[in-house]
Amino acid sequence: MMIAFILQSTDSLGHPEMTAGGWAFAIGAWIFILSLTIFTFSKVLGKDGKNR
Amino acid sequence: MATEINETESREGWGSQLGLVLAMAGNAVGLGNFLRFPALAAKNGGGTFMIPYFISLLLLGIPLMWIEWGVGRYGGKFGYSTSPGMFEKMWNHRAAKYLGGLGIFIPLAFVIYYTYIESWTMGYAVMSLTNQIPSIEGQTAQQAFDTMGNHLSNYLGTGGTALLSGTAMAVIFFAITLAVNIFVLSRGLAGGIEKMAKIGMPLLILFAIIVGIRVLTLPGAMGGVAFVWNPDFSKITDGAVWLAAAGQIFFTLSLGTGSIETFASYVKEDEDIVLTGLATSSMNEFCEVILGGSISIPAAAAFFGPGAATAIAQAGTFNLGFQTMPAVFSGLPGGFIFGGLFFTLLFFAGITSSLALAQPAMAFLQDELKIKRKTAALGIGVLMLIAAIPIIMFMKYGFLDEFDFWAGEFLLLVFALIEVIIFMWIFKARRAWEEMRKGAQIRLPQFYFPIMKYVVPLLLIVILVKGTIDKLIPAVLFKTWEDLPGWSKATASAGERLAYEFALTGRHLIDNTAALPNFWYIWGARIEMLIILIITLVLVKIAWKKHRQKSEEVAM
Repeated sequence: MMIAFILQSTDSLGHPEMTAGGWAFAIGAWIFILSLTIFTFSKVLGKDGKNR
Repeated sequence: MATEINETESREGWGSQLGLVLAMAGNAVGLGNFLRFPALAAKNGGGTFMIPYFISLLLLGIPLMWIEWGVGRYGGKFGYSTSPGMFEKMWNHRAAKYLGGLGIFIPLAFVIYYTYIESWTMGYAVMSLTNQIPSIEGQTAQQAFDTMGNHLSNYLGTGGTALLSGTAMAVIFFAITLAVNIFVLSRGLAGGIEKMAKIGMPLLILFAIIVGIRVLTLPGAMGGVAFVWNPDFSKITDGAVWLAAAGQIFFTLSLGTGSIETFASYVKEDEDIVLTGLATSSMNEFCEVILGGSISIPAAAAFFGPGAATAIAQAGTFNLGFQTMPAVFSGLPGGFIFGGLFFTLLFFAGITSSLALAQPAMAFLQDELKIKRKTAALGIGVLMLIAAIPIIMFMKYGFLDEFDFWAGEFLLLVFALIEVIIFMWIFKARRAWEEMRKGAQIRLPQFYFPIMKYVVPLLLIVILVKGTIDKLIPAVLFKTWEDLPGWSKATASAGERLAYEFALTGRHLIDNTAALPNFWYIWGARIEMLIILIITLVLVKIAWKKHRQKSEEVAM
């Protein structure tokens, strides 16, 4: 029921577009996480390589 | 007097560092990464939610992760794989081992109901791939929600007037999921859990990328991405948003479950736990923010419109996963394949977590009670099966929710707080710090010392107090009491409430078509958890008695 109510009340909002702030947060978060993941995994894989 | 296990006795170990990181990441990556995070972000300010989220990651998540790794590796040095022994080595007090018993009980109680939810993902993957999900062609958004809601409730047997929940189909998928878990556990750490992580985690990421690309190329999907990421700066000063972010970080990294300590106990003393802890956290964030943020909410927004996405985000994790997403895939060309991939990736996310949750109990039976691996796995399987029966049958009366509140939320925070106090305050922060730094290739930044000693316990206390006010007090005092017209459970005396519940129960006994009040089911769940806790503590006592006898024999 709640979903039905909100659906009716918000369908008129239209499709929002990504704002500059949205892009900045999304790209910033992606770069931060990807850099951390690549950095740490390169070290982990490097250690495994040496152990072999 | 602390007892020690003979260090020369053979314990299991990891096959490779990559396997360890993948298994640890598999422990952290769960259903919440794909279903809870995007809805939470969308509800709490979109892009601005990321500010408290990343600050919580740096101030709470990563330092607590290192603390748990440190505790685990330290205990492992003395041959302990579970927290009773670990706590006792850090705090020479007879209560320590029993407090540590929580590190076995909590994941065990957690995994019992978690495996049931995990089995739904298997059931939905099979139903998607065999085209058994009902069609929503020509239906409005609301009709589609209702169709999928009825389908879920038919699958779980929670709808209608039947007295008990659980259908043959839900039970069959649960039995298969449980059997797979027990089989993998019986293969051991390197041959079972690590192997499953090495297969499951890459497949999970691959499937998530395929589904993510499909979702993001749908017309209107960018509206959903905007919904997740567009910042709402008015939320940044809202304390509730900061608490939601800190809570999400705590739960997404699987902190406070006792399983990280058990996994870390198998690493060698000179292994770099700073690096491996960081790698685990970053992989979890990759799965949560990058993959999780690109699938469910954007898909819902593309399919139902951004207005519906608001409602979907507010409707909760289960609705998003098992009501909204099947509707989305049902409406897509070739949706059965993408639906199958989506639920399979959720299954991998689930099984790598459930294996980690079951491992403390496995390790305790093997290492402290000297029970053979296959027998231990079978024993845990039988216990899980018996304990899950009431959860399945009484689900519609709040049995599963009660387990989730205690074992999946409240006690995790309590256990994490106990652990931080023991490691950073009783064991002493300087020793703990040196312990964590051993073997580290990357330097542990000095500013983390005061963060671990002061900020982490303080944040845990704040989240716990807030949780207590919001949920525990209503759960304990009022949850089981029904409201009547002109009679409020909030103002009635305890005697009046009890009399009312007994009156309803009496009516049920006379007229068996009248529902038994939820009171009994909720207390049933609590009593079941208490029985599991008592069994755990008795086993801890037996194990320590054995250790003492053994040390006396050696001394003689």
